[in-house]
Amino acid sequence: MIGFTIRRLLIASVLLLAASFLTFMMIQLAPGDYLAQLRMNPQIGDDVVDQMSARYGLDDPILVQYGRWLANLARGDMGFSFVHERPVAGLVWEHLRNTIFLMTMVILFTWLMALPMGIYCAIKQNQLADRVLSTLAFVGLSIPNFFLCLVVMWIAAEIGGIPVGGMTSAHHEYLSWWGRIVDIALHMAIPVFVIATGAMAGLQRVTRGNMLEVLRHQYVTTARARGLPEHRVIYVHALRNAINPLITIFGYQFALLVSGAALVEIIYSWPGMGQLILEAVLSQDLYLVVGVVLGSGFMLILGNLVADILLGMNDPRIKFGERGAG
Amino acid sequence: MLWRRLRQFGGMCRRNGLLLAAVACLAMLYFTALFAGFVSPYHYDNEDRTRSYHPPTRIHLFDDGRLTRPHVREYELEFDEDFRRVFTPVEGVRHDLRLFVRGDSYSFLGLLEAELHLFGVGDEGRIYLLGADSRGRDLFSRIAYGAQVSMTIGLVGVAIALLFGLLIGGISGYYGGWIDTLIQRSTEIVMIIPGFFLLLALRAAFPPDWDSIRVYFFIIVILSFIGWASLARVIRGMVLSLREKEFVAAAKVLGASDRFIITRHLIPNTASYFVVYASISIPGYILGESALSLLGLGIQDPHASWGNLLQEAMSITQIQLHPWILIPGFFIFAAVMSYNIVGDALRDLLDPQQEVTTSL
Amino acid sequence: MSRADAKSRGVPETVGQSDQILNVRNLSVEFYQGSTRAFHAVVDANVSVGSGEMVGMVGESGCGKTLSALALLGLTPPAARCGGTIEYRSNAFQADSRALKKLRGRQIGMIFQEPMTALNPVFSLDRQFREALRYLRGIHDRRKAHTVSVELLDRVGLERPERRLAQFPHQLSGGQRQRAMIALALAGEPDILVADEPTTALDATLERRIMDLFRELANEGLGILMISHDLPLVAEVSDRIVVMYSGYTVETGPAIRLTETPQHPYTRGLLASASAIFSRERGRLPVIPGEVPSPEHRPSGCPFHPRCPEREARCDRDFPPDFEPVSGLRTACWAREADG
Repeated sequence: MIGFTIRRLLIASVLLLAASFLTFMMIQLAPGDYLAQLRMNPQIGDDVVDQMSARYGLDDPILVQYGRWLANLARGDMGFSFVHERPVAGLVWEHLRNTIFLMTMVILFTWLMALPMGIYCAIKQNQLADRVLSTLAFVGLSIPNFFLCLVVMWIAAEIGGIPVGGMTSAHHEYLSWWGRIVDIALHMAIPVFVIATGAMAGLQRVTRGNMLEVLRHQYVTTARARGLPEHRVIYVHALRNAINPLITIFGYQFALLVSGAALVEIIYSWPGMGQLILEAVLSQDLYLVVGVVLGSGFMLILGNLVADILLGMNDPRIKFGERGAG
Repeated sequence: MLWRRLRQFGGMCRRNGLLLAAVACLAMLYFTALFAGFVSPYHYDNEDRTRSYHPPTRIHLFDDGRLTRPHVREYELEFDEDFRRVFTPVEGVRHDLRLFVRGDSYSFLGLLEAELHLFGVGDEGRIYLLGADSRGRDLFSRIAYGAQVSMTIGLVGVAIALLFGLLIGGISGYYGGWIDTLIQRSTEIVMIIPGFFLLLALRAAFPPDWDSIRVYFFIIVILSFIGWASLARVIRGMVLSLREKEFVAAAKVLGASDRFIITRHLIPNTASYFVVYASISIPGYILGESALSLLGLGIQDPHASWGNLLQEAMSITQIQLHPWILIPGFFIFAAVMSYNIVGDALRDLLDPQQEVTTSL
Repeated sequence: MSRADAKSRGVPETVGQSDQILNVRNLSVEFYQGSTRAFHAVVDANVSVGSGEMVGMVGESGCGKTLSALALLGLTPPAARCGGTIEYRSNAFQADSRALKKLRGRQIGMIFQEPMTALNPVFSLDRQFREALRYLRGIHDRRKAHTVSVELLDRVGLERPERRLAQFPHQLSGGQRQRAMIALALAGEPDILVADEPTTALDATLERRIMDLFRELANEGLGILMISHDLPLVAEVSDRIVVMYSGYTVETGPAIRLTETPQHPYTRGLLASASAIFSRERGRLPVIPGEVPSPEHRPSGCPFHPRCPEREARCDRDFPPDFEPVSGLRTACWAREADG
């Protein structure tokens, strides 16, 4: 299993590098760049711009630039952000951390809510509760994240008491450690709820479907016939089998979740990867764009890896290495 | 075959009220998009800065307690002590609501100039069914024009993604070998970056200040660029499994040409998948365009799309003061939901086993 | 009127079975669509199983055997409604009662057709045994549970039980899986074991060995209700046989008598087709023509009459009462009226 993980990670890294190369090319080939924008700024002299250009080798051929970037990457240096005037690596890491933190909460929340809902609906199939919840799930699946975010922020602003933007309050630094945790938790309430709604709806539907299918299996009847209590039959025997496809789907949908979260981050001003790429794109900050693209790809690889490991832990029939990577 | 499927779908609509509502909703939205100039009382860029953030106009049926023809009141913009906009009705001034009035000229279906509008209140007054934006433009009219962008982007985008997905996936599956390997690796490169980040990175490659028509097509291209990869993989798999199917082998033995096999066997056997794929991935395109425009990277003012209409709602204070600026979001929601419902129904009808996932 | 006759048949009093543990009286299973009855899947089935006795319930697939077994433990699907009584020792239960749950595992064990799918694939055997022992016997101690599990596996003749316990169902062979299933069903120390087509998925040699295992278990005092479509196989190991056709009990009696002098045309057909397979006289198989009707489209009167070689005029009107054309056999067939 370790061998499989390493092999997969290696392939993924190569793909990521290829993606970084393409991003690099695209932005460099694009008409207009950051230096051109700087040059148009009357407050900055041309000599300053020339100096920067020489420092970062922006006048060299693209391949040379990429080669230099790659060499630096090997030393953990992902280049320099012109806008933030900071190394990209630190910047990306800070934002990646915030995003991963948010995503972890979202995923926990999603599973904790969606699984019981899906199971409940499967047991009460076609009864009123099932219909109501399933309809709600469909609405949740269809409502655009960014729109829901705006609506929820609006409602929160009208009610008051819940922060409607950012990750920390202005007075965060002066709070006790416990106060800081509460502060951040309050700030997470809206983004977690909003991002989780869409994901939850999808998961609820799939859980319901899987449970319905698993409950028809013979081992469920056998477990009942053996005299096990009903809760044991459903929550242990049926659920453990219904979860497998869910984990697989989780791996696939992780990319969707990351994308949806990025947009919500921007709207909510959560200092995560979404904000970073928007800034980078708006200012054509070359190294930062490439850095964020790498970071987001890294997140995806991480998500899929976690899904694979969970799947392997949950289902003894799965042997690693039998399925292709990618 | 197609006719039979359509009739089956009609039967499903009759049995399922929700599906019928979704189909009706889509039909209405496309009608609005097609006849945006006619349906909307104003041109999308007809502004009146004295009526900035005019709230939705009430349509009155009674005047002095007597039933009269429907009309709207005239309102005057004032600012209160907190510098908030207050619109107060002007006594005695009313504008009758009339059908088929002349107004701003627009190009009808891109063919001829027209001035006829479905409804309006004449030149003196203004009617804001869904309120006005910061420059006093009619939100309803802008939503109608926005439908032209938002409702078509999915159709065109899916068509392009299908074209490329079919071509590339087909080549990959049919020829195999190093071409297959190369194509597979490329799809993996595209798929290793989360859609939103890829979308923005691709957008970064082009200047932010392009005009809206170019941006419109450019958005379609990059959205389909993100969509083709997963589709190409699915199609490759289908081609591989179909190549092994007996009827294809039988046709080959009988000396059928590649073209005959492709048009008579492969396409009919996979067509239902594409119909389902299209209806399920269109919401992704609608959402992708909305997201880009919402961030100011898509359709630019004065042109309207549902996404860029929401840009003004990015500030919570503005929503609190003028909640109607959220209305375009409901249209996105309605369109996405309708497509999801129709997609679900189509999947049940055509492709009960296949799992289709959206791309963005 | 046939219904009333059928109901009055009661439990067959068979030879030497005074200590019946399980008595099923007039069991019926009906399926409903909404509030209207769609069809009657099992009609007035009567079965009893005594300690150390092996009873075979035989019929082609679709005869209602499996449903009858499920009904014993209240496991029928939600759309089904059951009638009749189930007597376990001194307790009588209505077939619809939720109290039947109490019988599961500790009083009546049950195993199913497919050993492939009847064990939960994601849990090791050890875990499934521990769970059963915890809930059915209150054994919480891991080591104690392990010892008991090994004993159970030993009892059903599974080799190297220690090693097997650590394995998952997909790592076992079909025969091993079926033995593990039986051991698991015995974990609650039931007096009665209901086995639904336990050997159908196995090959012929394994089938023999598993059947022998059942016989051994019966000799140790376990009452076994064996459900199968294979009359000769079941007859070899069983004490008594109940033959079912399309939800009706058509013939019951001691296994030896029933196979040597079968009276019901359906039983004869079953035996004849089985021997024909061995004689391999292709083209001249004395099999029963046609197939079992689905309960929705069951013919009137005796449901077997369209396929019956001894059909009489009244057969499509009334279901016959039981006759006793041969001592010990109870046969529901008009053609045996004169003999009974």
